[in-house]
Formats: sequence, C-alpha cells, structure tokens
Amino acid sequence: MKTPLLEVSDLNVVYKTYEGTVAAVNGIDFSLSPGETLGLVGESGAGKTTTALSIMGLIPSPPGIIRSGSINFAGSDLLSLSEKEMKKIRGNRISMIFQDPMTSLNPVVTVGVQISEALVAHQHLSEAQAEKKAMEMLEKVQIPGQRFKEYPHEFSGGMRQRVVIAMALACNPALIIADEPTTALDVTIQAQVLELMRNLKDEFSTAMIMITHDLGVVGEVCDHVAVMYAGKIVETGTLEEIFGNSLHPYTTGLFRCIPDIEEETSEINPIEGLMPDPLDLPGGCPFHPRCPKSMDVCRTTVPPVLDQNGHRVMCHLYGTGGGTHA
Amino acid sequence: MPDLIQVQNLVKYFPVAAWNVHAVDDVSFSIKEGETLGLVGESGCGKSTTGRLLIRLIEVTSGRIFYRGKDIASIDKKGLHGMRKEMQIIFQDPFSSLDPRKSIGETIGKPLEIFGMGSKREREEMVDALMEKVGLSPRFFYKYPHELDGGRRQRVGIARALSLSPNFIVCDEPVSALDVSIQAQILNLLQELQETMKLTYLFVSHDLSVVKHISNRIAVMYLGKIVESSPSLELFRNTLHPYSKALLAAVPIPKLNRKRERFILSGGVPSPINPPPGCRFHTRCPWKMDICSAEEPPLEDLGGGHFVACHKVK
Repeated sequence: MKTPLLEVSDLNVVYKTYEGTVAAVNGIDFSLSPGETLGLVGESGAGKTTTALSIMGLIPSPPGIIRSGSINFAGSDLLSLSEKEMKKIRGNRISMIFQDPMTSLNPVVTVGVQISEALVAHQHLSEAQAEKKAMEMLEKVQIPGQRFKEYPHEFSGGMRQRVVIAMALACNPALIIADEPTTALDVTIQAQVLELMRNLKDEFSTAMIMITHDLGVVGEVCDHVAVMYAGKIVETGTLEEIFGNSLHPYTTGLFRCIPDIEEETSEINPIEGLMPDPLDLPGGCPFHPRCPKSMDVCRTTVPPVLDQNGHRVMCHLYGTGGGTHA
Repeated sequence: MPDLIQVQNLVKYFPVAAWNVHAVDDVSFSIKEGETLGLVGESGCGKSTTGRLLIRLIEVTSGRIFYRGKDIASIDKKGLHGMRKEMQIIFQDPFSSLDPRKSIGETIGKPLEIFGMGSKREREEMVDALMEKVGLSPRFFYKYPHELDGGRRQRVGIARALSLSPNFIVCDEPVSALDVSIQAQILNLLQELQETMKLTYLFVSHDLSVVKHISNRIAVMYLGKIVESSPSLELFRNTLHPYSKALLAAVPIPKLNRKRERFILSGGVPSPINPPPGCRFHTRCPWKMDICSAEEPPLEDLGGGHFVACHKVK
C-alpha cells in the first residue's frame, strides 16, 4: 500500500439556513493514493460538490460550517491551516476544474494571462517566463499556443474547458478536483475532453477526484469509485468492484436506471421515490425509504461499514448489525 | 399504420444582423400514428427548432407540414387554435416552463379553461384525474412550482400537455434536466401514457441511450440536416453515417472491459451562419473525399427504411 496523498476522515459539513440546518456531508471517509483517479458519484444534493469545496477550503461561510473531521493532504491537515497557508496550496498543489467553462473563466482577461496568473503567484516566474509556460500549456491541451492572447468568448465550449484544464495543470499539482467537467459539453466534445484528461493525467501522474452523476464517465476515466447518497458514502471500491459486483441497493439501482445502449431491448427500473430532504434526513439508513430491500433495522440504526479488502459498503444487508443476507 | 405527421423540405432560418442562422435546412420525414420518432444530435443541430416548427410555436421559413394530410404550416390563426388540441409539447426545463405564480391545479387546468371544457367544478375533476394519471398526489393541487422537485415539476408539464387529450406530443429533452433515478421514472411514465392514450411522440434528445430506449425510428441531425434515419435497432446494428458512428462511439458506457471502436472526432461544429459547402460534416469527417466539399450528398433510401446522406456510403 502506498501512503495516501489525501485522507478524508469523518467529514461533517452543514449549511445553516433560515429554514433549518442542511446536513450536506455526514461523516465521510475516503483516501486517495498518488496518481489515482477516484470517481465521486451521486445525484444532485448527494454532497459531492460540498466534499470538493471542503478539500479546497472554499466552503462559503456563512452559511457553511465544517462541523468535524480532518482532511490530510501530503502530511498536513488542511482544515487546520490558515487562509494564508491554504492559498499556497490552492491552485498550486491542489487545483480545481469547475463544471461550467462559460462562467469559470474571467471574460475580460485573455486566457494566456489567466493561465499565467497561477504560475506568477505560486512558482514566482517572471511574466515573460509565465507567458512562455502558458503557451506550452495551451499546446498540451491541443490549442495553438499563439491563441494565448485571445479572450474566452473567442473559444468554443470544449476549447474553454480545455483552457480551464490547462490552468489547473499549470503548476503541476499533486491533486486535481474536477467537478462535472464534461457535463456542459456535447457528447462528441465530451469524448475529446475525457481522452485529453486521461492522457494528461498519465503524463503528469496527477491524482484526480472526478465528481460526476454519469456512471459512463466514471467507467471511462476512474480506477476507484465512491458512491454518495444523502451526504454519505454508501459504497466504495475499485472500478471493477463497483461496476462488476456492486453491493449497495442504491448502487445497483443506479445501474438499473440507465437504458443499455448495447442491448437490443432495454428495460429500465427506476428507483422509486425521491431524494430525501437534506433539512430532514430519514433516521437509520438514509436510503431506507426508497430501498427495495429495506428491513426494520434500516429505519432505526445507521448501518455499519463492512470492509472487504477495501471494497466498503454501508448497508445492513452485509453488516453485522443483524438482518439476513440477500 | 398511416402517417400522422409528414414533413416536406422544412426550412427555418433565423435572421441575425445581415446573415441567417441555418437552423433547419431542408428536412423531410414522417411519423406514423402511435410511433415515437427520436430526433438526436448535438447542441445547435436544429432538433429543438424542428420540434417547435412542427407544432407551429415558430413559423417556418419554407416547407410543408402535414398533420393527417392537412397542411398546417400555412394554416391561419383560428385553424391553429384548433390544432393545439391535437398537438402539445413537453419542455426540457421543468423550472422555467411552469408559471411560478400559478398553482399546479391552475397550470394543468389552464388549457381546459382556454378551450371552455366543462364547468369549473368539472375541470377540477379532470385535473384530479390527470394528476393521478401522471403520478402526482392530489395534495399538490394547491402547491406552487417552487415547492416541487424537478421530477414532480416535469410530471406537471406532462399533465398539462395531456389535458386536452392530444394525439401528438413533442417531447423536447424531457428528461435531460433530471437525475438518473428520476429520469427513469419519467421515461417509464411517458411509455405507459403512450400505450394507454395511443400517443405519437417526437422525442428530441441529445442522449443516444435514452433515444434508443424510447424510439421506434431515429433521425440523426447535424447542422440543420438529417444525415441518417432508420428504424431504431437497425441504426445501432448497422450504423452507416460517419457522424452517427462518432456519436455512438462517444457515449460513455457504464460497463467493464468493453472493446469499442475508437472514433473521436476532431474539432467542433462549424457555425450555422455560414455552413460548410457540400456535405456539412466534411470538415470533421475522417472519411472525407474530394466530392464531399463540392457536392451535397442527398438523403438516399437504402431499403428497409434506412436513409443515409453520405457520398462514401453510397
């Protein structure tokens, strides 16, 4: 086992609102080794983005409060760092790719300057050096270097997202957090961007957390998967374990929702019901109101996590907390 | 089954300053009664515009649209009002397509009111029945859109579209804004309703796996043109147009150890203001020949209802 690059334990994040306390992330644990790609999967409101923002130290406060937990990154607990120390890490050692390339770039600054910014701030390059490096980075993401003087509106959506990727990679970070990086793109453009990300990840041996709602995207780029539901990681394992032998009824349900494009006839089986209200999460297992295999114990007791050589599942069907095996 | 809809040489240009955006450029197809035609393509290919033209939410630049043999592209306002009973639309975004100041009951009942169906009391009963049909609990009758989640809002949009018992519904990306577990619920609902109410759908979507699941026939659009159309299964068994192949190969599939053909296109879609001459796909096509930039390939019938517009395939 390699020493993990990132280790998140018992992270709890809430948002205080007028309507009450939103429990966004409720005690999650996961770790990431150098060079590994973890897919963080779940539906809207599962707590994926809140997890990412916690790592980046970007939880808006108010209303967000990190109630407890630790985030260990390369030997230091990010949650105990000052904002000044955090600034040295953000954009340098850890960088982020946001979903919407239309809003994550500054429309009045050329892309070259936007890429150079991090290089000047973190690597103390001169402006001329930074410019040269920015051109190199653009070439890396298959955009002609001489376009570094152009503004975001002069690029197509796919190219803008590649500019954002160039920015994220500029300082050669140890970890990239990509929050739905291809969701806003058309499918043929998504295929280009995913291929690019796969290649660059290998070239730079960067670890990555890929946040997505699309299991197909996970299958294309990730080697580990964590499935989130109502602020908890309900199952985590290698890509082979999650795709080939999923255990949690929510994970299984997610796969059964998607029409199979490779089969002649496909049947889809929706998960009944709706996402729970984060202001008022159900007791016990958060998935029990929608779970086809729900038992009495699921309503009352939070299921323990069963760990089988790293394939972890949080469900009474497999735990020691009672109940029969499915 | 006879054709419910026939579209001939449909054209829609949107004027922009001194130019025209060629949104839909000479498109012809037909939809049989009780059938679902899936219209698939990427943003800007003209699929939503086609859907809107079909029910005359926007005016055609030229071309003809026949509904049960009657040309509705040139029908007058009064005639159009009558057509609204027959043809409805479900929109993509369940947030912006509902009036935030109308209760759910009012929204679903509005078409009934406009067409003067029954008394107020009877209309309320009809709305109750519609809500039950789409799986909305009656307690939502007096609720407002902001109190509902996306899946329920989309059910409201569906109930509203069904209120006048139409024959034909344009489903414009009806599940794209929804989470996958909710998406599956809505797709199943649309299929159930099609069976029980004998509906005909034009299903517009960018998601090939969804389109394949729900459609009998599929038409693939690129830059305002249909490049390939065929019965649903045939399109997947025997994909012919290079754009269709690329679109299919680009869909990420949540399975392990698949050996798939790599077919990644370079570049992006050219501007519809000044579309490329000849075949509109030639700028990105891996099979490009000399003729492709000079001459536009016609949509040719290869038999079995499979049509392709490609010089190479021919």
